[in-house]
Amino acid sequence: MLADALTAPGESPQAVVIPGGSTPNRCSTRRRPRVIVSPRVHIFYSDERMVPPDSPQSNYRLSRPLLDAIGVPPGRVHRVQTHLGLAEAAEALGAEIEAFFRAGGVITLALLGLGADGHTASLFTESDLQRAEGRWASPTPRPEPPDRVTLTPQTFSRTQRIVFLTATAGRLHD
Amino acid sequence: MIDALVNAPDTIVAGRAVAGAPRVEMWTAP
Repeated sequence: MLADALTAPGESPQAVVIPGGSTPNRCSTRRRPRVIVSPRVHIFYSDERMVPPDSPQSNYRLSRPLLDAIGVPPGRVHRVQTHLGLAEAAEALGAEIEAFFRAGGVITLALLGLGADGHTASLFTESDLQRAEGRWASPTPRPEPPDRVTLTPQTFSRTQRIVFLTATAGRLHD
Repeated sequence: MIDALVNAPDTIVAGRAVAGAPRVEMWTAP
């Protein structure tokens, strides 16, 4: 499924949204994909913690083994600019998503985690959903650091196919 | 389960987040 999305033919830019946590690595280690990634493929993250990109909590860092394995060019990876402030980082990511759509881009697949409490991406509460209205990416302040930047329902509604990846009956995604 | 998520938008954040998306599925790793 992921390999299909990464190699799909077509003229317009295409994007895949990958989840946080350890799920991307699980994909790469359980079944290391042998794919030739389309040069039109972009990678976005469902959400990101506001930590440096080399932090063990960084979804970007967690995804590197998968991205390296399949050879996605760094310029196609839209990581959250976590050195910025929370609001600025969300705004910057939103601008990248808007530019992607304006260029005719299509998000063909979003792989999302699903928390035991029913949250996905970093949308935890009603307030998070309200804050996300009208945005492509939104800041999610958390009671305990790190804060998050998350894609929004507006972005997910423009996604052709959403797949929740679940691994156990317990805590599925943080 | 996905139907339950998408059709329970008042109580489950994930359902509301993806309620408008064209196609929603669930994949459970073995």
